[in-house]
Amino acid sequence: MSKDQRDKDTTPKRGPRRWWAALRRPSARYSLGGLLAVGLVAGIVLWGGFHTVVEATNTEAFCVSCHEMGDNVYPEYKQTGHYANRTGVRATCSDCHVPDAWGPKMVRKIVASRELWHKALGSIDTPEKFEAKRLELAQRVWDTMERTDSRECRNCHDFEYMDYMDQTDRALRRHQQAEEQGETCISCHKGIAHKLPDMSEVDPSLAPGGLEGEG
Amino acid sequence: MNRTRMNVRACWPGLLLVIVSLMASLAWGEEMESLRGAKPLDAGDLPPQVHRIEEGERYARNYVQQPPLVPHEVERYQIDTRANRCLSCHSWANHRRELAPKVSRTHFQDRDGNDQSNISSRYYFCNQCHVPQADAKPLIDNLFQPLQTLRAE
Repeated sequence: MSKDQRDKDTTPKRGPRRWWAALRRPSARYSLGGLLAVGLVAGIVLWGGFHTVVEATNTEAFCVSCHEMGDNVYPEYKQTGHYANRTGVRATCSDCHVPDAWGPKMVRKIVASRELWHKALGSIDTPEKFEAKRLELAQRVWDTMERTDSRECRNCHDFEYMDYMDQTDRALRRHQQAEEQGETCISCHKGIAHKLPDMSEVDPSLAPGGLEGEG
Repeated sequence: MNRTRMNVRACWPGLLLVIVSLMASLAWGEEMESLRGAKPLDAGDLPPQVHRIEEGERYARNYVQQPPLVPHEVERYQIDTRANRCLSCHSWANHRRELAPKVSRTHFQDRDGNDQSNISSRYYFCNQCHVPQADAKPLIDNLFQPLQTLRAE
């Protein structure tokens, strides 16, 4: 079949091929301006819808709607200053666990499909299973935060704007030391929004000692 | 006429009872207290006085065996079988980095006097003895005097 014959081929196509053909054919009926206007409006609506859905998955209610989060990490978080405090300024799940910038946020949302997979597998569907995995899960978050230089912490906490005169002596000294040596928030501030896992492997000096030689 | 007098006489014991109970309630009403003290129902209780924890300068000890007080907040510190937040600064491994006092060597001994490789489980729960320092006055006046050998003043 030559090119000419193919272009003149007017036999009705079926299914996806018909749609594809319609997409490829230049419009003879609508003006370019009209098409652009419709495209613009449709784009705004679609983008807004997409954005709304993504933001809905960032809400606390969404996060704790599965019992793995609602029963394990959420009650612990409710005891901390990031949940409730004197001023009512708070950081909820996504403020710490989902990046703010668009690119990293999309990557995080795609990576989060793992969580759906493990929800289906029931990897942490009992408190015992969760406890057994707590160190691994925590370590993963710590590693991420070390890698990103605690980016999500710094959305609110900024060395630049810390009023050291308003801090206690030990906080002041330690924060200045951290700033000078380029330490990152998570290297010290672990276990501030959730309970720490069994730390005996991370830092054996945090666990009760045994007889020397036994560990 | 006679009938009315009879009626009044019959009322006497009842009247007497009413008068006596009225007087009694007037006399005792002043001293009646509920468990929350003599307060009108619509007046709230004052919250108990909270002694602010004094950060910074360490309080001197009052007697030789006194566990030193903690010169900072320890609220919400996790001390359980999984981790001990105090030791993240005060363990022998971490105290140099944090410029914090290290836990006493005596805390490494188990109940048989054997030295352990780290703080012994019987000393593990720090806040059983060490509490944050606050300017809290004794609840009951007493004659206790701190040892002068332990204080610079």
